[in-house]
Amino acid sequence: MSKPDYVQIVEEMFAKTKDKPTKDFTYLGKHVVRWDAISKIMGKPLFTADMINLFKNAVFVHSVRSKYAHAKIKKIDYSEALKYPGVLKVITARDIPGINDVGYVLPDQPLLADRKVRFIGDTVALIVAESLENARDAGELVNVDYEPLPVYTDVLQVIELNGLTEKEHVLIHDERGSDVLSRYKIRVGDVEKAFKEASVVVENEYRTPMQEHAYLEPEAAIAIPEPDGSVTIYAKTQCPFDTRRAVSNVLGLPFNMVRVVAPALGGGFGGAEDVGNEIAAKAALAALALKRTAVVLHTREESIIGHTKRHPMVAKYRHAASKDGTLLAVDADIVLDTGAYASLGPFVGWRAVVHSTGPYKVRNARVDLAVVYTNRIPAGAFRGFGNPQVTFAVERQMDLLAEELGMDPVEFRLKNILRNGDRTVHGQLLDHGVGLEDAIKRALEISGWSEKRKLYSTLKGPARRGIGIALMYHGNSIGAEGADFSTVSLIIQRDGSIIFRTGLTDMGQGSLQGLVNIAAEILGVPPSYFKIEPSDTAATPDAGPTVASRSTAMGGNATLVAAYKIRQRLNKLAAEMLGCASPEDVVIEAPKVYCKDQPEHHITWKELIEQTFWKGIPIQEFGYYRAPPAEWHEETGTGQPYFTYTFGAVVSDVEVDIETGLTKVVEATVVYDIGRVVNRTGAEHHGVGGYIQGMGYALMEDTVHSENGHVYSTSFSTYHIPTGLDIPERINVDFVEAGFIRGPFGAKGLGEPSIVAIAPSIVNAIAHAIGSKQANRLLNRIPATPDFVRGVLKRAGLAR
Amino acid sequence: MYRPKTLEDALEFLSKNAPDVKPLAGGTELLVLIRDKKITTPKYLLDLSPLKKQLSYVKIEDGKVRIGATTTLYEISRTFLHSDVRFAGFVDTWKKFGTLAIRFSATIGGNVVAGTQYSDYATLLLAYDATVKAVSSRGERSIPLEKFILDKRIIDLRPDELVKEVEFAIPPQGSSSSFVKFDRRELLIAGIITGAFFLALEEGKIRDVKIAFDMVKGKRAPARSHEVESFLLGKTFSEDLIEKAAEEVLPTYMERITDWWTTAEYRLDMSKVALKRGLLKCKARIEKGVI
Amino acid sequence: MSFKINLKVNGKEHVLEVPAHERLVDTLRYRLGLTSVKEGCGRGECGTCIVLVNGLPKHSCLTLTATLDGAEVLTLEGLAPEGKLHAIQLAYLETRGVQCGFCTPGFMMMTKALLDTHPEPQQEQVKEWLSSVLCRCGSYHYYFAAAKLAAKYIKEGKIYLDEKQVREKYHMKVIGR
Repeated sequence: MSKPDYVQIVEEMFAKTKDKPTKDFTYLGKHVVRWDAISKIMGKPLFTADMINLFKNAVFVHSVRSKYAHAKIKKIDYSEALKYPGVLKVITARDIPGINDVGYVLPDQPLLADRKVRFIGDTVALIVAESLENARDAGELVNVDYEPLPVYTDVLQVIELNGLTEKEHVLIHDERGSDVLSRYKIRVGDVEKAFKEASVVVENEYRTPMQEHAYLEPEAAIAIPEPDGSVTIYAKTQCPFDTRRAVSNVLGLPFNMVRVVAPALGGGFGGAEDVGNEIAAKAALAALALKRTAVVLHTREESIIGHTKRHPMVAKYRHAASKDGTLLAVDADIVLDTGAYASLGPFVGWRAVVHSTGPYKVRNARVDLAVVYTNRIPAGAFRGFGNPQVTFAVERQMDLLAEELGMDPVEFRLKNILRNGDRTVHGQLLDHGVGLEDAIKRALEISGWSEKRKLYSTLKGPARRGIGIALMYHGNSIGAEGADFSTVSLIIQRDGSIIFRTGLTDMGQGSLQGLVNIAAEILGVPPSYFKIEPSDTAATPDAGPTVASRSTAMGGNATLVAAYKIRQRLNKLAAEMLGCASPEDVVIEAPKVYCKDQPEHHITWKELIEQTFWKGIPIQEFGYYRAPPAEWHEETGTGQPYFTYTFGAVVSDVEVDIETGLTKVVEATVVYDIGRVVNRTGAEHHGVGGYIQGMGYALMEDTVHSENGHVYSTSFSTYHIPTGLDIPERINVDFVEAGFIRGPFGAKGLGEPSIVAIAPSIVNAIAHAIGSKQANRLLNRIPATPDFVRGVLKRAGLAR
Repeated sequence: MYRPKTLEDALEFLSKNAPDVKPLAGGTELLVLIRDKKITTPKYLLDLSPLKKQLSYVKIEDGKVRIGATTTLYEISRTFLHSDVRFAGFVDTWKKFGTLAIRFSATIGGNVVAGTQYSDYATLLLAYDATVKAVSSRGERSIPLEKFILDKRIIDLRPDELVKEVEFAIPPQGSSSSFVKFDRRELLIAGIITGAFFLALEEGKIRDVKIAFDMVKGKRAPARSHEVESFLLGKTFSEDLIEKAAEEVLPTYMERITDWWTTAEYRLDMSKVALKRGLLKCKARIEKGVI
Repeated sequence: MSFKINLKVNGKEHVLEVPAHERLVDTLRYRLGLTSVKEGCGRGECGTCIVLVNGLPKHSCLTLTATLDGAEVLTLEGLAPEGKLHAIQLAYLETRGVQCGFCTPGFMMMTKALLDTHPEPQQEQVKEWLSSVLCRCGSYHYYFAAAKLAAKYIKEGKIYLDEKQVREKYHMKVIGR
């Protein structure tokens, strides 16, 4: 069977341009001022809450949340709340016309709790009132009769780390019969034999925290009842099509009766997936019940309690290596805490297991991973999606192994990394485009690794310096998680201006500019000819979710295909109009269009477009691209989990105050192989922004629950994210462009990869600064807060 | 909300409506407390902004430094308190208080009245042995700050009283102060611990020393550490002496708590580090004569 | 109980009747439609609601409007006259830091306050002032650079720029290789 045309087109474009340096392109890989930059410096974009002004007579919806982290609901009495001034309606589970579920990948999460509550953020009722204040006040009057159940806030209360057997406990999801949500494994080679033959074995336990996205814009949704009984929703959501599906389920309406528009988003990082569905569904329920525009608006505190987080991990790793520094085997048990509901937990677990041995040649591996429910805030999608957790463990193990072997951590890594022609642990052949070695070399050079590594080891006194490295790889797009496709629509208007639309969202990262750069490059028109319209389920075909670093690769390919098809038609027409020898000879440098050997004889872009109108040549396309099918064998953990991987090397240079344990990152260097730089500004933003967010993960961030499941860190003074005074003096960003045959002009994704290896690079640097073998082993947890580091120093006998 | 025309007017309103009225200055603490429902929403707020002209000042009078209650931290930063080495602790405290933007609103009076471990200026003022002046329609009262802050959020201020100013004696030449605060990050922090230190040296001898922490044994609010002070007083300043004060004397009189943020053990260790660093900083400042 | 107050916002006089508990952020956003003023936390921590009151920065979420009788408020909307852009805005554009844009107004208002009081700020001052606002996308370095660039433009007397010309020159244009 021949390849689909879109695959051929992408590969053809890659083949034509693979040797062309990025600097020789017109728009690709350049700093193009993003489409919304001018409106943003004027404070003009409308984020969802800014649109409230546009609707008169709206009602406000407040979620009454649980008082217990785990309890049965015996009775909900809201009669007093109903009497409160301004209250119009109280909605409980019984009032849901469709299905009371907003579970992301499996139906385990009621929108409104009916039978029981499983975490402190569960919503038991919605108060609809004339003002938000009244709705909130009335919420206090809802009386719920609870029967409290035991609360589990540590995943090891539910599962044994050794062997991953479920412990006897009161089931959180009794309806499922088990609180182990999903299990994954890798079984490759002969692990036992490898360990027997090994000359060095390193074993350690690792813990990572529940990171909060802390996007600056709290969630908001506005639902407008339409005359035909449908509903239009503006909501903070990364994935309008998923939101539409969730709302349709809850309302019991067909998809075409629910329209979801994603306005400007003040950050997402994966956090605006599930919660977008919940707030949209809540607003829509109220809007249809009251026949009035309904608003859901979260406070910061509600945002922190009400949206999913990064899965905390507990893991036990064992690595074996031979005397010459060859990695022989990996043996690991990994537990991810998914909190009260599955959200994307099964997918996060799968991505974690796929990446659980790092970007290394591993021929023998036994990995078992379980995703487990607790009564914490649900964990879901967060930039990196399971990979930062396992990479923290793996990259710490690499440093420990190097130390045992008496090797330099870089030398040891270089001996084992994946290169062209190698197979991943899953048996996937990497036949081209592996730029990891180049990335390492460049990172070493930029950071001044060798000199600093030597110099810092000689320093004494309370302020020590250290430099550490970590590597990563990250499978692009959603791989074997599901149908992996994307779409864009490209519509050239009769005056030559162009409308660009996709169901992919911009949550701030600006990746849509990259797509426009691709279209502009192919069509030969400046990006400024384009207008980007917001993501709208009624106006674009389903583009799949905006997740998994897939916008540039998947959306980029869809854009490339659409632009290519239009360009072919324009070439043909222009060749006729200009009398070029072949359509291939047509050069478009809008506003000029000419034959390549006759640049002085030209027509204009407008004239060309006007002719398509009279000749009946279509100048609009729905670009579609579907990734090659992924392959995954559950029993062995082998196959082709992702169609390609982004590689990276991160070097962190830190100062550790030995007396206080306080660590500051002084300088950082990140180098990523992203195949081809498409959107240079955006790529740099990921390099820098991913580092800063990863630094927060490494040093300060955690969502802390009390034993009874209440959350302590619900504000920005208790949940620490890096401020402008915490960031390193400099973050050096560079790219390797190894080229991926099925990426647009060879490009791969960077959104998620940019956070994956930050934490281990920082902790490896702390270990270097401390310079003690014992401390090196004890640095097995993030965040490496001052008290933790100081505790390590004490336990290692380096401080009183 | 009541917007008084004069101080007298404000005091009269207070006396009529106490305890149903809360004075509102910078709002950076009170409005958050109301938001968090940590206090019941008061029936009246007494807006102090009309009194700003009258109650915002930093001046020297009768041998004392006087700071008006509604003086913002920003206003303080524009005075001699930020340039004279004898007040160097003010610069330290400024740098670690909230974020810079908050310092335009937060007031010295608000800090003192809040009476929490994070009332950094209260901790600092303790190291200057400051006195709080409270006024009511019945008259004026001077309360040593140490006695004013009784415990966490418990202060010796009657419902009809208003803090009018804080004052402390002008420190002698050859003295300086410092303030130590740190946490996981640089800004917007409570501080693992905080400590304020005042030191006066005379020919190498400790002529005066005052030490305050965000809490001490038996008090979960800013307080002095008199025992450590008396251990140090009159002795010749040396690193060994400071070390001994930190390791041997301080722990006896310091009680720290374990909570979700960190442990008592770590807080105690850091109290020692703060004491050492804070006093050494004072000494360096005295010797160099610069902040 | 409501209060009648005079408030000058972005140069325009308003007479407002506001309840005692109304916060400035709500007055600006929902009464006057000035939605560049964001609410990210409501407790004076994130800095996205910062506006200038009588020339100095203030968290509008911790300010009761009724206390502002006779005050002058400046929001991002009022940074430049209609049809113009301020040098600060151009500097933020040219240094390419804008990502989600939710925190950007807060940063720009802090920049304005900084440059009004320190026309030639040191790097340390830039960092101290601008660190009043949180940015989760991680644009801090870019914004620090923007503040310094803005200072340069203002010093050169390039304070206001024609919005139309800026659009023509910059909108989706290549500004670096």
